[in-house]
Amino acid sequence: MGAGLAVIGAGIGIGLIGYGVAQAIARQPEAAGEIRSQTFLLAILVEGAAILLGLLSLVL
Amino acid sequence: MFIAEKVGKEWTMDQAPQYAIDHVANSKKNIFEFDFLNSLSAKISNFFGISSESLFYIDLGISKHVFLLFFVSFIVVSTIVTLIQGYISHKKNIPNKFMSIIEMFVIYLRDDVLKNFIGVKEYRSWAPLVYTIFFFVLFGNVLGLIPIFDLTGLIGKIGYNAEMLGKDNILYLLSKGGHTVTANVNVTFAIATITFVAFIAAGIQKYGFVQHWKNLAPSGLPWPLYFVVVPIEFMGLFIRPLALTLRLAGNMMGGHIALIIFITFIFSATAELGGLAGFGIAPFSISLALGLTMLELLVAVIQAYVFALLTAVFIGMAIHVDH
Repeated sequence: MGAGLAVIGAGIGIGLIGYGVAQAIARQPEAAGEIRSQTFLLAILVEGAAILLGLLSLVL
Repeated sequence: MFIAEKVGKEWTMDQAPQYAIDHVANSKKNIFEFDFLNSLSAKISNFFGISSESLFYIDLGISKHVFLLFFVSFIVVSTIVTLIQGYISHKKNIPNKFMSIIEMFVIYLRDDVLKNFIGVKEYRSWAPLVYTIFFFVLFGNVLGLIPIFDLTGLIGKIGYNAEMLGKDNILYLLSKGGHTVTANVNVTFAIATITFVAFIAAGIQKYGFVQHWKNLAPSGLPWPLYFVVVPIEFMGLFIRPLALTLRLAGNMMGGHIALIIFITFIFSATAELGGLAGFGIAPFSISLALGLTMLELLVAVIQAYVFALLTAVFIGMAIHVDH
């Protein structure tokens, strides 16, 4: 159940990032590379929190 | 179907989680026993006053993951370093097949990560660290995914501590391979510690010892705010390597556990509902596991990239404090 909750949170977060990135690249295709590396950073941070909680739910 | 029925006889459903944990966990006993290592670890533990039953007992023995760690290091050195050295020494401008794969990774990391996050001027001094971390983590991740890698089981069988294998269950032996060193928290914590030292060293190198710690909090805030900002920034300093540790280990561990659980569906169904049910569920189970393996292959590369990226980002943050 904890894992499920963590996935919901991470899903919303990464979904929002993906939405923003798709729009940003559509508007400025020439900046795609720079946007992509920033995206990774943000997605990682969101995912990191999710994994931490997922592990906690696994351990407890 | 035959194997499934054979295993299904001694299989119960609540065995599956323990089985999955056994797959990713380190071996309880050492693969190789060396007397001098044993006595050395006993000496060190005695020095700190730790008994041999304690969880914190400092064991320097070569366990499964330690052996694999050596193996991964050996592979990294023997492929990456020899390839690059050969490429440099020949002075040929045409890279061969493997060299061009490495070149792709290296150039991508240089242009998208190092130059962006560390800086065009400073990136050269930190590039070796980031590349080493990237290739080490990448090889550790990918090596864990190769299912034919039964090296530890094989060595255990031939001579050293054959009872380490325990059950000579055929499924147990089949899935004995594919151990990911990077799924061990200790390994990732060690790499994260290197990152931790590196980004502090980067800051000190640029600004000097005192100024680096002053840079922790932005200057020019109203003074009561410092009571809030400084503890938060200080905690953040330690949370960064911790997050790195748990992210990599969690990703690799989670993938492997899910993979094993998918496979054990077959045996659980056989044990609970009979051989036909196990046979029916096998195609779904195997195709799910196959898909997940492909996903894990992707995750292995992404996590290695992420580790290198975050190392670069942290070093960059220590060097460019203004943002």
